[in-house]
Amino acid sequence: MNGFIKLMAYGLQRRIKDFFIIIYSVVFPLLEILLLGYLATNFFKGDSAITSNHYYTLVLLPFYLLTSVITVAYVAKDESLRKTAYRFIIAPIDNGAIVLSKVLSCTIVIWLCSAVNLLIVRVLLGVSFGSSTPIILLMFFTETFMASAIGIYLGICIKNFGTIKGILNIPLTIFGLLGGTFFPAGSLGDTFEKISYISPFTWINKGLIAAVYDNDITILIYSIVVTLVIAIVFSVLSVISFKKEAFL
Amino acid sequence: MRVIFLVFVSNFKRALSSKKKFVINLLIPVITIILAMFVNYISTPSLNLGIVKNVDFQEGNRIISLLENTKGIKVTITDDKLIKTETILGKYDGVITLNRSFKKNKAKEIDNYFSFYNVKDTKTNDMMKKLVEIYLVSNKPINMESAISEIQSGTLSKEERIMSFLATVLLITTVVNAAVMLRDREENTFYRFMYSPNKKFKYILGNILYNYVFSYIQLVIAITITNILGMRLETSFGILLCYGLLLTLLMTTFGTFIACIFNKELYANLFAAAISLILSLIGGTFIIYDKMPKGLQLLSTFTPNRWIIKSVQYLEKGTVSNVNPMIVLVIFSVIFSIAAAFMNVMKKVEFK
Repeated sequence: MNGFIKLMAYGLQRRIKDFFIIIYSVVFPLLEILLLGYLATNFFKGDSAITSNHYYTLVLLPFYLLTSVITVAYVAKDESLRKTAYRFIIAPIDNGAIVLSKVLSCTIVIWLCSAVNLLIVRVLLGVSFGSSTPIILLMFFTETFMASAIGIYLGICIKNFGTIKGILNIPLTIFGLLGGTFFPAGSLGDTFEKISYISPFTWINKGLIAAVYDNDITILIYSIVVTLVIAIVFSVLSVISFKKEAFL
Repeated sequence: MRVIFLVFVSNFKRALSSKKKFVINLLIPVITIILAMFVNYISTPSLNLGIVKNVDFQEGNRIISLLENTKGIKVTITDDKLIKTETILGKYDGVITLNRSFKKNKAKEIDNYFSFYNVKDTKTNDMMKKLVEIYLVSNKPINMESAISEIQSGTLSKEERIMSFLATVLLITTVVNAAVMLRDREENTFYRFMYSPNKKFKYILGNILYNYVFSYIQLVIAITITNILGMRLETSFGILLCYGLLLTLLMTTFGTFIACIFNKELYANLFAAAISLILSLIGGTFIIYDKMPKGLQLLSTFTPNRWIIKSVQYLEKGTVSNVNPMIVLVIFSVIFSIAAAFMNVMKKVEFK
């Protein structure tokens, strides 16, 4: 436990200073919200409660949280890249402490970034979700937990990072398109709607929008539970499949 | 002239050395056209209406049945609680809720019996309201197709979409082709040429000629396959081929200019991909010009993509507002050519 706490504190310090995490979790989403929000201004003029900025905040933040899988995969190989692998091999710390400290430190820092994003769009664009904000943050937390667990698992199992990036970028973008991340995709017909069910963003986005605008949290609760279960499964898998030699 | 032709032919031979790559390059615009046709198909103007029946009564059912038979409208009866969510996510363009029952000719204040919701604009609500008002007193379904096209105005025609998509792709491929000059510099082939008694100008012209001819062949193949596959276009095949000469000229000069800015092939290709997407976005390929914010509309006027769309409108309708878009495209080509020549003059050849 002592090892876990120390690694966790060290991991948090590292992640907060991680240039990649800050860029991918704060700068990119904000720029895209500003850009798409501006471009789509005239597509949301019917209801003053929902503007293009509201829409893109709700759909782009979950998208970037899941794409952090790629960033987190790099964290899995941190020791290998920093050449501290031998210290870890000798140290009396169990695999669970090493893996879970990485998963949780990434989760906390990336989740904090999403909270900062919400705060910035509130101040900058006046985008507020009122009483739904706590449940939105909870959804973001479980999603980040899932992304971190998957990222660490992939980082441990796949040696070639170029492959990880290449493989993950395509399905994530397709899932984004299906889930309405870049434009509302509901108008594309029944067949497209059925296909879109395979995208996690379909459920997360729908859950978030329903919670804010229809005061219905059913889909969001299901999404939170499912992402949490996936996160736990991948965390366990990561601990099982991790070997300290992977750092070498 | 012979040297220019030799450079032109040698570039073709180089491209042909990898046949697989050559064929893929030639067929990229075909894929673009198919994509453009698909986008056009799914964005055909129509109105998806969601109907929420809070009360079930005879007069309400009559109006719903009339709405279902209205041309241009697709009606879905729903008891969905997530009406706002579904509308925001685009499943419904608008939602009509039947709140209170009434008898024929008794509903005076329409807002007491119906509520209307949409997120796009106020026009859609007005149209739904007007439609219900008509059906309150009439029993005959009406054709709403033209009214809907007007509301969803600004969707690109097949030709406009195809040409604007082609421009996006051609800009990238022309930069890839023009980047041969950069590769020659990197691999020192260019210096060998410069040691010969030939002028730099001939080498550049040979490359531009190759780029132009290759891009035009790409365009011809794409339009021909579109015709063979039976995808009907309003503009005739001959006119499109003639127009292709101008479009290719514009893209070749632009591509050459971009290639002249950079010293490395990789940077030129990356920049081309980014700038072609940005210009397409601003120019109105993905977002309709009429729906753009005013600042962006102003910016759009300075992009070649906006004038490509305008020039296709000119081909289709033959009308010119103030400036002839064809002339603007020629001016753009001249500007890019001068800029490319200027960049070349600036880059001095360092003999190794």
